[in-house]
Amino acid sequence: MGFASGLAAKNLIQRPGRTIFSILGITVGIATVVLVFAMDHNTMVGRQRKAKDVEWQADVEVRPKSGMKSARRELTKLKGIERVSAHFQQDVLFHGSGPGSDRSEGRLPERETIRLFAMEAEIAAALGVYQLREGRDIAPDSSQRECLLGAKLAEDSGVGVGDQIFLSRPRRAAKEICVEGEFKKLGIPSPEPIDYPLTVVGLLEAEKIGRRSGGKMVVVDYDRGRELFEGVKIVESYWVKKNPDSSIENLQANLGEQFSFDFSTGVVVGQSADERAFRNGVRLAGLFAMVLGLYVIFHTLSMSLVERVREVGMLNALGATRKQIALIFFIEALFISLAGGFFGVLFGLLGADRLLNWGITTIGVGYSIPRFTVPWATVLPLAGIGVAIALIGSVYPMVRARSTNTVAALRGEDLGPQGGVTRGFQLFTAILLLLVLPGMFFSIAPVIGEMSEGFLGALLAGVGVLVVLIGLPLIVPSILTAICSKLTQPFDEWWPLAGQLSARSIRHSPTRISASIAAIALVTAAFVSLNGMTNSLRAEVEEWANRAVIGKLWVRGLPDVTYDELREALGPESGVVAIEAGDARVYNPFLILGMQPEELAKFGPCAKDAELLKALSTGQGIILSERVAEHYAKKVGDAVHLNTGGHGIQSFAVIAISDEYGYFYSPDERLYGIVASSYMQRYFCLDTDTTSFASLKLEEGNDGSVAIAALKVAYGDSKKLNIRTGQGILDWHVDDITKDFRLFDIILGLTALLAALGVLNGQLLSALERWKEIGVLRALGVTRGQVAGMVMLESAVIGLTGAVLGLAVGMALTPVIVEALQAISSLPLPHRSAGAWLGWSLIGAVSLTLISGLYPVWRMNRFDAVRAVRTG
Amino acid sequence: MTSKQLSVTDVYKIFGSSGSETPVLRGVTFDVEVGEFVCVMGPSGSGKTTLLHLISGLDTPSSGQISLGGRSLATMNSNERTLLRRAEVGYVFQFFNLLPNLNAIENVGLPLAIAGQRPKNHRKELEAHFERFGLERCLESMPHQLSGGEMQRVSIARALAGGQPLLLCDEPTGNLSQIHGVAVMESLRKVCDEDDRTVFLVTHNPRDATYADRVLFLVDGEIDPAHALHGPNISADAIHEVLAELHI
Repeated sequence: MGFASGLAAKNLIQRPGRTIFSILGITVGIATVVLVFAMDHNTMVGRQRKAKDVEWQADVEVRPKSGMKSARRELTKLKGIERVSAHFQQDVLFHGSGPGSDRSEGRLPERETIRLFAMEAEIAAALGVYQLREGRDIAPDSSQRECLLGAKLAEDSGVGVGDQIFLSRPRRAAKEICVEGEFKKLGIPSPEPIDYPLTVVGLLEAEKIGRRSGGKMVVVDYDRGRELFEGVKIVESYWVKKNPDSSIENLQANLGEQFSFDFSTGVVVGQSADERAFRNGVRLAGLFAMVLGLYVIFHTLSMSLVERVREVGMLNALGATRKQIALIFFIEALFISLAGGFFGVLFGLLGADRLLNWGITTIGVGYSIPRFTVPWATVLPLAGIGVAIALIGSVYPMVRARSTNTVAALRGEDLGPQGGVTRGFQLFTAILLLLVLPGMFFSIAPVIGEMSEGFLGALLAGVGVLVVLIGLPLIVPSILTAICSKLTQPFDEWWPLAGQLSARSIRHSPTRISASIAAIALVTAAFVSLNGMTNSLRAEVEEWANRAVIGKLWVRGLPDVTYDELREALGPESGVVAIEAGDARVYNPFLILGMQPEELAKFGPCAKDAELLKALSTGQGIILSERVAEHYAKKVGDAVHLNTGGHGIQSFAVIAISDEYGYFYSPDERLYGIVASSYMQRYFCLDTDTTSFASLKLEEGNDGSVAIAALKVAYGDSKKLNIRTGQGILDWHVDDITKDFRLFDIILGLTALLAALGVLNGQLLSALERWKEIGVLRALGVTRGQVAGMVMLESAVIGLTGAVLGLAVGMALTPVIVEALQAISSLPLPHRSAGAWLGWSLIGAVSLTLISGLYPVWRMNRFDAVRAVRTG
Repeated sequence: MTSKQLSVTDVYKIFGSSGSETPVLRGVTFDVEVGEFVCVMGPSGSGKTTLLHLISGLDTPSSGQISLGGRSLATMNSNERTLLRRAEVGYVFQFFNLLPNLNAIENVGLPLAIAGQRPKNHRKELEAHFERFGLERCLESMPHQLSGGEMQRVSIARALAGGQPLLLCDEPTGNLSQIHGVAVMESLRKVCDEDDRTVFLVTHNPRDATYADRVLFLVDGEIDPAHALHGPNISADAIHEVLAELHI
């Protein structure tokens, strides 16, 4: 062991280039995947924490559909549910009897309205609904009427643990509903309430539910609450704690049609379709980086025997056993792997922390993640896989070292026929990288959300690409070698020495060349397909923007002006065709905007179709945006039902599907419908005569500058005034896509670095292997420039072949990825190619390989020609 | 009383596969006594280096017997041969084969390390080898900082460091100048005389052969005992005569 470790240490120290670049390769591979998962973990935890910081929410709030008996029992039977507590909340009137209260001084107390939360006492504590500052939980079986008091209420009223308080149902004012555009009172106010005494057994921290109503709240047992509100109809509602092992999708499926439910923000963070698609994409990119990194290192380590063949022979001649020699390789690989693993984890975590600090997350850009935690349960196994694969990469040299012909090695000859050992090993490598590694990866970091057909298709296509790009070169490396060798032929005439030597070097190292080409091709394909996908996303936004925002202006912060006032302020030269008001809006069941039909008649579908305008104005028609129609599967002629309160459920007929009307950037919502303003007024009593937020449709070719100037003159005094152009909104959306995909750019940048390291390592090993040949060539008069030309030609051929292969695969893969994204997100994505990125990828790949060749060139030119010619 | 350090009996070595067989050694037979300095001469391609590989157990004969220190190699597997080589053989290569990553004294200490000892604990003995061959100033030098002669003498020191009784030398002066070659051969003679080590040298250089106790000639894969030279009969002229007679 001492001999092996000593020699291994010497080898590592004396070959700093090889050692550093090998460690760097593993580091970048592991760092990338650790970075992705640390970021994803912190993005989710951070967003959940932030959501829960606002106020406590149950994982799911569930209401049974009408007619269900014993909803609680049904819920507890469902899979994916850990605990259930019935609850309700109501306003109550409060007065206390603490030492500081008015009652202690014998005066009639002033009643104060506070919020009452009734919940099942024995479950509530386990749900983590509140946090006690003082006292104890409510005893579930207590015959006493007990309660917990919010911090602010206790402080203001002077009530403490052990004091008695009184709650009473508030006198309800008559309910108001909108009828025919006017609010009308329903029923009569409730009678004077009766005091309900309770003993305070605990005070709450101003956290979780204790934050509600500013701490002016009280918690009581569910049954005590029902006693207090006896005779009042309470909507049956349950807090549900989700089983952490169960997915949202499974729980949704189990709750099915019997219940209506709301997932808390914390639980659903990162779970929406587009967020899932994005996160899965980031994870796949992480897997891609890991496979690529380990593939490169695998080859680097497995090739490292070649240049040391004489050393193996000599050691064996001196009496070192095969086991001792194998141990040297193993110790070197162990050190390199562990060092790479350590630095990979370190830099991955530091990188994740930094990116999160810059607001880059796995659900987009611009989110703030307050605290960074390390998901060791994911990071360590991933780093372990990386280290293990790198170690397995050293098995090959060990096997070859064991079977090396010592006599041939002492003569400085090749390792001899590779035969079955190599082929078997290449097959093993292919299986390991194509099946085992992805399998292990997905068992540690499973795909988020449902395995939709589209996503599965993309996944299979991805595996297909891996098979073609990694499997084939591993199993039949001669295919790519033959192509590359042909590519060098023209140079035989123009650049005879470089052409001839490069061709020979390529033919001599089929596995190295294939591995390098595959790595470059993978990265190129990833760049091309990612940019094809983002171009599709941009095209979708541009197509929508051409319909919905180009040729419009938005003005916000107006002082509630009428249409006429606004038109007057704009003046006759402003070029404004129509005004869309954005104030009259309700969410029912999606965003509904009320607009004046006479304005809509001036452009878009209503300008072309008088019947449509009539249906909108008087036929209770609704125009849906394209996205809302897609989302709710509505077509022209279908009905949309709105709950109006005073007029019950009202059906609106879908009369058109168009994005030309109704978009407002705040909130940035593309799921909406438009009804005539008269219906908004009639059913919801909303003011539709004035507006503070309007969209102005401009004449064809008008850039809006006159209108903007007029608006500034008329309303410039208002600090709230905000004017945005359609082009500005389009740029904002496109910029958003670019920013959101910055994380992918970073990951792809890292994989490009990995591919470059792979090429560099391969060429460095080749250079070391050929040191004598290079030395002899130098002795024969070959200049440094000629040596450089030889390496650079080889690099260029690798880069060109890899890039062309990558372009082909990337272009083939782009539609598959776009289809998958479309299936997951329901976005109508047009198919686009990577555009200019096709050219940039080609140039980038060739440049990358040329740069990778610089260090091997430098090393080669440092070989001692004298030493090369005087030794065997 | 003398005993056999090495015994080679009717050894054949045939390369190539059936149909394109190339016999390199054809029934080679000889013995080497303990403490003897034996030289095998022959032209390039006569099988000298192959013979060394067979003796050291790096390769196996197609037929015939080889015994090293009284132990037959025939029944040993590769690992057992390696262990026997470690115990019995010190190797001096034509191209030195010093490990480029190790300095001179680390290279010399390599056989100890391979045998599981700590070279640092034997520093004085290792330094003594350097003094013996006039290499005191080269202790910490890296191989590329040494001259060819120095490298070969470090290589001899390495062959001696493990204490093995038999030194196999493969054209040790083949890459050296005359002055350096003489120094190396004197070193080998010194080792044989002072340490009672057995030296088995293969060379095509008549000058080197004059340092031996016995010179055998390998021609076309065979050793003809009739042409062997012994002790006082060995001189440069006598060797040249035999070479001429054998048309070498």
